[in-house]
Amino acid sequence: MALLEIRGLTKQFGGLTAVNEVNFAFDEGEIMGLIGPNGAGKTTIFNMITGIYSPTSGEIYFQGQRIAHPILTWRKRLTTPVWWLSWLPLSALKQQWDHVRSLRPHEITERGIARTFQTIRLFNNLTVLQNVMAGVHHRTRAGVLGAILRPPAQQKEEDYIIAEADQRLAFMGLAEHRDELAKNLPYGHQRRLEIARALAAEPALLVLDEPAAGLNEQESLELMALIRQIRDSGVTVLLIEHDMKVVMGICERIVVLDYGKKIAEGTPAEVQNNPRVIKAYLGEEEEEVVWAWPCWRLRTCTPIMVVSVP
Amino acid sequence: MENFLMRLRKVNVLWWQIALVVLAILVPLPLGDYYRSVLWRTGLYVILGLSLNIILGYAGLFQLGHAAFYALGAYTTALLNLHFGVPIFLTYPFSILVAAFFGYVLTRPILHLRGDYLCIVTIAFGEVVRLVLVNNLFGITGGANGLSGIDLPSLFGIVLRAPIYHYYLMLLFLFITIFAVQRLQNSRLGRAWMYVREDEVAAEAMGIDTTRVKLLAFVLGSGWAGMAGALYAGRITVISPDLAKFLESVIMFSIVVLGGAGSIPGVFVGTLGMVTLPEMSRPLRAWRDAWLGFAMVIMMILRPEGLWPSRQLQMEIRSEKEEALPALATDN
Repeated sequence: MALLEIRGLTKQFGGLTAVNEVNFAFDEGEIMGLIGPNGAGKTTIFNMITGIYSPTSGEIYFQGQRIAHPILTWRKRLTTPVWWLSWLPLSALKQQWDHVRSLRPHEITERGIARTFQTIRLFNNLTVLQNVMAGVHHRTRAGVLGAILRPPAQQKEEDYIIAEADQRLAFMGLAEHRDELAKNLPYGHQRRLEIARALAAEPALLVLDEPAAGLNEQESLELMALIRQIRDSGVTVLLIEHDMKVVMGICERIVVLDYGKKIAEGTPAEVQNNPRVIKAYLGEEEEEVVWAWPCWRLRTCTPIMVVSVP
Repeated sequence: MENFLMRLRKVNVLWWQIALVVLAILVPLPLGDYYRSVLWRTGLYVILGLSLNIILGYAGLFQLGHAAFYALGAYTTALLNLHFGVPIFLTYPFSILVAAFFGYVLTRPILHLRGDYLCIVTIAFGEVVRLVLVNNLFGITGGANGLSGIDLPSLFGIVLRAPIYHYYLMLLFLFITIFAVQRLQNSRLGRAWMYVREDEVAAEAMGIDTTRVKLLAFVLGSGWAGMAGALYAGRITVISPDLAKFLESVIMFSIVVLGGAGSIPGVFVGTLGMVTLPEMSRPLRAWRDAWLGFAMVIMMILRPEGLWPSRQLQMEIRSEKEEALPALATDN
């Protein structure tokens, strides 16, 4: 059984089809890459996997369970008997209802998918340790009464949260920055802190959105080693990346998107030689590509318009 | 040497707290009844401020209709006492539950709103509650005149009539409030509120049920305000829809914001400025609205984080300001 399976996934924003009928699946223990030119729909797919968007159509299965379902219209809701009863505290009904709806982001994290963001989204004014403690939140249970009365069990849980967070910090090599504010960390450390925070959620699947963006050569190499280590510790990794050196270096399988469609899938070598991929990145011969930026490295290529030459 | 100083500091905090508690107990003794009432009112608004602080300071949710829950607590106590003859002390749990229940019902549909939108809707809810009370719902709320003739609370057959009793009753609840709020702040739940305040999307992606966490802030804050309302009804024995006035909400909001959102001493400072000072001098009282506006403007310019801010929020607000400066510089 595949760990994550995406079936016929489509997302439309008004008239724009950001993701169009994408299918792919991968198994546990893989490092999977998702690449494509800017605006190809990579981050949209990530947002659907992690529950921030609901797909327009199509489904996502994680460990055999459906986590994303097309948006329920009100008409659909009103005609679904389970919706009417979904507020009842009955586990059988809850399961039925879970089968009809998309899960919310925090529920998906509880099932075992943790993510990082393309633009770093740390809790800037909290310490590094407090940031990582956020990941342990969903694995602990203390509520209002526990907080006020502080029974020994709750104290133990608090110690557990700190120990877990410390462990992830040590793993990502941030232990000595434990009590600094997240916003005062250098950029490369912030990227790693985001991964540490995601790891603290103990995911089965770690979803990284451009983890190497803005890192220098040395930091990229360190990051690649860390991602391999994460995989070896039993976490499957799915990543979006523009830095071809990183993608080709660590991914075992790559899915290439262009204009929301999957155009290729395979090992790095297969993908690199695929004519459709080359076309997507470099344009066709009879088309002239106007670059927004001097194109001396693949990662900085941003075609702003493609002019067809008659 | 340094170690010794650190230890001294730690001891000092504890001694400070004990000294403050003793002071709070002794302070009304040499004073007259009028000043005892002023102290009582101050303490009541500190409780209200702390309850709003959970919503506004910790979870970062704008709530400008907080007085509605205060009024709901007071009305619950009054109605139970007048119609069913329930002793005042026994009505407290019901007041808390009713206010918390309405906190749940009123805020559940609007939780997805952010910032100023939430602010507008809470103002509307506050007004709805006040108008319902004024319009004498089911003929039980007494219309614009409110309800009167509520019993004074009695303990072991002694009717608590003198202001000093009420002061100590309030003080008991105040200590409970401070204790609870401080522990909430340093707990898993308190951290979840901080995460939601800092970045809601990231918090949700980390597995925090933001809806539940925000709802808990509202329910707790509302229930606590209901408790303050019950204390009020038992002391004044006459209540009117004026309790849910918009100005009351604004005063609570200003207590939290002027004192420093998210900070317990800040709420004390805010209450001194917003309630105690205007109460003590009549001329100031007449000018309270003007003084409120003036203080708001001056504070937002000089100390946007409040007079006695929590360190956390001070950093948040100051850093926003610092970030704004280089952007201006590059524009020129």
